[in-house]
Amino acid sequence: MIQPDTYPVLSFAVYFSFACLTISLFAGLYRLLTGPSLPDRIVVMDLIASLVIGLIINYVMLTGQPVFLNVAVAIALLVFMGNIAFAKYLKRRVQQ
Amino acid sequence: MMEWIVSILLISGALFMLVAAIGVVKLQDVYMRMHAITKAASLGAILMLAAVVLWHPQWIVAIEALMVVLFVILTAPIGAHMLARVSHHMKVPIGQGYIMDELQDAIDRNEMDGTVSDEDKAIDADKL
Amino acid sequence: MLKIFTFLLRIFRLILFIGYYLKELVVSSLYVAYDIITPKDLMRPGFVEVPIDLKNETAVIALVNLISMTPGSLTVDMSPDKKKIYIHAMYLFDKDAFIRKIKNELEDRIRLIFD
Repeated sequence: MIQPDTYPVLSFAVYFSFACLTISLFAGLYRLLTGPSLPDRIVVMDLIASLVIGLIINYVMLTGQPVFLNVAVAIALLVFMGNIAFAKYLKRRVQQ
Repeated sequence: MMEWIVSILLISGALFMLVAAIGVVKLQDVYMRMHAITKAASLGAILMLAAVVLWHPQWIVAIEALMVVLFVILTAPIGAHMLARVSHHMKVPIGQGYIMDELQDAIDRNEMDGTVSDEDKAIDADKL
Repeated sequence: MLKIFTFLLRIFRLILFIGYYLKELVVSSLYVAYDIITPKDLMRPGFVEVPIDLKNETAVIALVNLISMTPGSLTVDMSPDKKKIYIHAMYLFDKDAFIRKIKNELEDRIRLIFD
């Protein structure tokens, strides 16, 4: 557990990156809502997966529990599957 | 000292992700947004994982972080490549300022006929 | 003996290549990040056709993925006979210089390692 009185610099860094990642999530949400085409929205899904990996890493730093890295491994695998599935689906829809 | 290094790695990783998100909002078409996401976001994730490994120097953490880095590096370009190809097949409108589109020229010359595999042609699109 | 020597040479070239690639990754990432942050756009995008002559399929996959990981260039498609690849590039100030850079720097190094 990182307390501001034991590690002042590191706790500032962790909270600063939490702020950055939250702003990025809202930016991604904007593009997800207004994206003109379907590939735009799928691309944003990739970005959100990276951001969630970053949030998990920040959480590991904040709590001092490296167990949560397992979640990052699972997300990194799953988002690739989702990407490929969407690409295949779009490809078949184009050929129709 | 270690605290400073870990902090700098964390902040730079978060800033790279922020740049990727700003790029997603600001850039003008799908391909350029893919540029921003595949590289900036994966570089940010790698930097932040390096921070975790430095702060928790245990074998299990290092191996898990290496797994995440390998998955991200191996899968991000493949996913971006497939999505970009499909976007070009879908004729997603490109932005302004393009100076050439040689892929469209090649398609117009009928050079790209073998791109669609027989396996995909055999699947009935109505069932999807 | 000669086999061991060529294997060691290949490993040595692989290490050199990883160093070169990391340098390229950082430099071009910073360039793209600078271009995104500053409001004035320097972009000159386009799709370029680049001829490749790699025999080994592993080498082709490595080349395509490495091009996609470098900021500023993204492999979009490949011709059916695997002789040309189509790259979406962000900074196409000089088309010949771009093609020359990919062929001379990336492709030659990959050919030395894999072929």
